[in-house]
Amino acid sequence: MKYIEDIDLGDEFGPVQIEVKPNDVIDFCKTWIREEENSKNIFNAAPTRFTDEEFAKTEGLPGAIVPGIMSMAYLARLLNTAWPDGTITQLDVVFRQLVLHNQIINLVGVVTDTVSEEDQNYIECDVYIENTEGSRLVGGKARLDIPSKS
Amino acid sequence: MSEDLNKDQIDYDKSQLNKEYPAGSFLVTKEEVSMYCNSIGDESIISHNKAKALEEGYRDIVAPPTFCALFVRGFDRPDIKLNFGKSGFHAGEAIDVLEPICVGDTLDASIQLSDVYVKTGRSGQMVFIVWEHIFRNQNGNIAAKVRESHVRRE
Repeated sequence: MKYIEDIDLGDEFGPVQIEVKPNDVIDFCKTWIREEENSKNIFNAAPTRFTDEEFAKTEGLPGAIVPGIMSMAYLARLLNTAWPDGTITQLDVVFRQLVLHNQIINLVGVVTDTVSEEDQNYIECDVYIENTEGSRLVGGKARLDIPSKS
Repeated sequence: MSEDLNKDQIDYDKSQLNKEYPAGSFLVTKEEVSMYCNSIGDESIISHNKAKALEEGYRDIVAPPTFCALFVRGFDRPDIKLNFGKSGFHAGEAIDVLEPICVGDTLDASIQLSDVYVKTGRSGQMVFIVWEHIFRNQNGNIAAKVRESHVRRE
């Protein structure tokens, strides 16, 4: 278990490297398609920029892209992997560049603050999705509650 | 390029600001949580193993913290009659997780326009539209708030 007392400002975590497989993106999209079938907004399951390379190109994109909320979910996965006993309470992400199908991405993060007070122990982090050249495609800030030894 | 706007000069239906609309009810199922986790490679034990989740004090299998953002995708939003820009994109997403969301939970969602503001970048002015979605669980507690930002460009 990782405790708040063991964490320092500037601690880095990751990278978690992922190759974005088209089938994973399609499965992710199917989760929300099922939701929408249960609501009044019926998703017609037609090709989208997220699921179909050719359709994405007709919209002027270089290829099929990863939904923003999937990028956000990847960053939550990074945090859960780095701090398995922590609890994410806030995650705020900005989509800077497209994340494409079949792209290799690295999930990385750094601790920017640690707070240990009587009734709360938490850390704040910056998290990023980078391409293999180190360009930041998605950036975010997170806050996690972390257990204390005391 | 049009003359620079300030926030008060953005042309949209300002009566929509902070007006809350119901957005539907959603049951969290094991199948959805499992599909979601598998698609992003989330191996958290409490999101896969009910016995372990119960052992750790949860009601059932725990959905990943960003799970609520999925529901937002299908919401109808009122037309705010924004008179700006020709193209738009999804700029950002933020979530406050206030209570764990577990399999079997029923979430009641609402949506409201929380902010409309302007920024100027290298490519000119952009108007940001921020929608806030509030998810209350079956106990009436707010489980999560999701803010989604969209941009309109000149």
